[in-house]
Amino acid sequence: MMDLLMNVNESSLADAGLLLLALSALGYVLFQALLPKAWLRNTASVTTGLSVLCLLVSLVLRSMTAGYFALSNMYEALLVMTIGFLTAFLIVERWFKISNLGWAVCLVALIVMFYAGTTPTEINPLQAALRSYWRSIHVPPLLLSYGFFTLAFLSSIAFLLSDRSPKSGGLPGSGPTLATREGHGILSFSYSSMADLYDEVTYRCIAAGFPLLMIGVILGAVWANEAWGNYWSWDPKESMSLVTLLGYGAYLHLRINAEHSRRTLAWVSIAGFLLMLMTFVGVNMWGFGSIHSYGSVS
Amino acid sequence: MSSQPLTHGTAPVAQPMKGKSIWSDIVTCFRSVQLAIVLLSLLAIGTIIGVVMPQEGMVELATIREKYGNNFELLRDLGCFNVYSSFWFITLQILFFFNLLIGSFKWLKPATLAAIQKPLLTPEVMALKPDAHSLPVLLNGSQDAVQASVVNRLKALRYGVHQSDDGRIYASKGNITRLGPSIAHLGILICLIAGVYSSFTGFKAVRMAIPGETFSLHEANTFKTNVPQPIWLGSVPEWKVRVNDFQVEFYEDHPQTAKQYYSKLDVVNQKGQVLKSETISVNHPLVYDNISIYQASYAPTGRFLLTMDGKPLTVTVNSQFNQRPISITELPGGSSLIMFPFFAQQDPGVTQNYAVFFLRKPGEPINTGVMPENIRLTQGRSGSLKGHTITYLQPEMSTGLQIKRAPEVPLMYASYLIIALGAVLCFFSQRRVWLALKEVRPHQWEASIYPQTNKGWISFRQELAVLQATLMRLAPPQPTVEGPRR
Ligand code: HEM
Repeated sequence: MMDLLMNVNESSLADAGLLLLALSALGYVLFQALLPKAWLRNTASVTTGLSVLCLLVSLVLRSMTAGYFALSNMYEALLVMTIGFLTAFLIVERWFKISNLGWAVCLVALIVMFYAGTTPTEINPLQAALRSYWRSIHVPPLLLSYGFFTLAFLSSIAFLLSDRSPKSGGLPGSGPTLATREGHGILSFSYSSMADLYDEVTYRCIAAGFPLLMIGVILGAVWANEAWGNYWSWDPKESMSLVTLLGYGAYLHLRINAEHSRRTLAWVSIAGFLLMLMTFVGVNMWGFGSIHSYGSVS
Repeated sequence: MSSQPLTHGTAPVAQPMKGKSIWSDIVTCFRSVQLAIVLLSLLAIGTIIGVVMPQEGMVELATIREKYGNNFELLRDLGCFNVYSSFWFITLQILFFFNLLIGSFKWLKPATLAAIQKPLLTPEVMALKPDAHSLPVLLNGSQDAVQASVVNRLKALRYGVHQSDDGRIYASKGNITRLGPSIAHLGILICLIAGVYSSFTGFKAVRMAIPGETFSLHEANTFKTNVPQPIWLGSVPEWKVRVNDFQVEFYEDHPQTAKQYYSKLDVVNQKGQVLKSETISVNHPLVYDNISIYQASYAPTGRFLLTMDGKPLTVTVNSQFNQRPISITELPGGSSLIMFPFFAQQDPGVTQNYAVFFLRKPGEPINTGVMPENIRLTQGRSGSLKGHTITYLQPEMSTGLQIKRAPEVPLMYASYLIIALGAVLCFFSQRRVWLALKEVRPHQWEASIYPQTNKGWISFRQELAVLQATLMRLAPPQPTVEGPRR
């Protein structure tokens, strides 16, 4: 036992987290497909929570080894994003009772983490430009917003798959039609269909992700200005984060006008997610012929 | 206004005005959210073009020309290689600004009213309203008792309650959040204004300086303002900057990565008096007279600091050998010192800067087929060669200083704070409940609930279900209660 404890390190904890996540995925699949029992759903939530805990502790250990907040390469970014994504899900799951998305959430988190495993995981020293406390406050809101947007993406897909309303269905918010169920004269307020629920989850997740992304981008601008005297240098990463903001901004404004169908909105949310992916991984993978030009010129 | 409360409470779709003129058409268009959506999308597309196409500041123009061949001229004229300062991108931003500004006049008032007003439903309005979202509940007791307990339930759910004597109740929470969009939009307007202000009064200069140098801002390598000089309204101070020292620190186990670099600077006036002294490094600028000096970069100057027989000697890269830069220095007495520098940051497999030195006496043949006598010195070491002691101190570095006046910073930061605050407020919803008590039988009251929210219907419904259940507990349902009316 002692031996086992001694051997707990950053990577074994991450592995344990993934194992737990796989178990959660299994639990949610069973819950969804065969055994819609509350205990099974609760167990799956708990294992998801434990898995988040493992990943979190793994991140903390990693940061202690590195001597700085471990958020400097792709592996670490994906790790933190997964933590954010799962946390976002756990919050929203209780709130909106959307455990039936659980299997997809766990699956996406697993895929992300497996991809993360293929990127270099060694701890690297930070270049001078990144040695600042700003880094640890600039990045977490961004990654948490990515978590919410990913969740919004999943629920948009769930919406598109479950929506049975006529093509031009308006928003539930626009003309408040409270679905009321009868029974002993008791009217219970409940949502009228799963599609309504998914639509709402999408909206709330985007409404949560938007200010987080905004705050992350603003903190980045303040950091850049304090450290290098530029708020904004139209670096591809910066530009794409602006595009993501604009995209989700368009979603929020489209939503104000009740004329747009919820299907259109779901597609806009999916497009927003693709923009987010471009920002988050695309720019790093393709680089777009430019460098993230901080630091030395030689 | 009287029929307003039960509408969704967000901006109505732009209505064409009566007595149409082109002017009113334009105003209508600029007030609309539709235009905002179009502009947001176009700005997004423009930004993506800037990301995907090579941009002038980042890629050499010649490289771009080569890549795009015949299409180069056309694409350049369309601003594709300089998107962010192209006429169309700036036009989009200006349109966006006016959209936001003119739009504000339309929705600022209703949103603010929704946040501060406590409108009681008038009986006429209630009569007009379809009952689709009303929830009749029957309650027993005197009016005062019933009203008081309903109010208590609402307060328990953290509603602010406003009531009238005839049993009309208005309860709301999250009122302040209705100001969220207005605050966010105001912040964006301020941010755009701050940007324009900065363009007219700020500047940005870069100076590559070698330790020992003193320069004034007029002598910067580049001096940039966002608007052309004739309409620029700012000024350049007369004081000078003296660079006393410059050091680069590398990671010991990663000699390719600079850990930090430091410039020791003095700000001096024309008489040479020191006004401020500071050692700056990346992330830690010097601020004087509202002007910031940032440690931005460094670059080897192509010169090397050595000593030879105890005397300082600076040599310059001035030749090539097998494509490698080398330095050949004529020494007094006719010999020449030849130096082959190798860099940890550039040369594969090299973990520490070093150089190989040769000394050619006058008249010595250049190529004898055998390797002439040489020494290899890592940076900081000494050695002797043909009776001379040579020390390789370091490659000379120039420090890249960015000097900037940004008078808009306080305004810009204020706008950031306002935008962030507004955007966070936008997440939350305003919930309003109108409740009316009607005596249907002596001491039996029918409570009708008219709920409204601007977003987050599902969790609102859950809360209403709680409200309804607690009211029910006050008055257990009677079998005779009517079902929902349509
Ligand atoms: C980058 C620019 C903009 C940002 C970040 C922004 C942000 C927001 C946000 C976060 C909301 C709240 C959405 C919600 O409640 O779900 C909102 C609402 C709104 N926006 Fe914008 N907006 C921008 C530009 C514009 C423009 C140019 C217009 C032009 C008319 C506009 C008109 C509106 C309107 C009418 C609302 C609804 C107000 C209300 O519900 O009281 N926005 N905006």
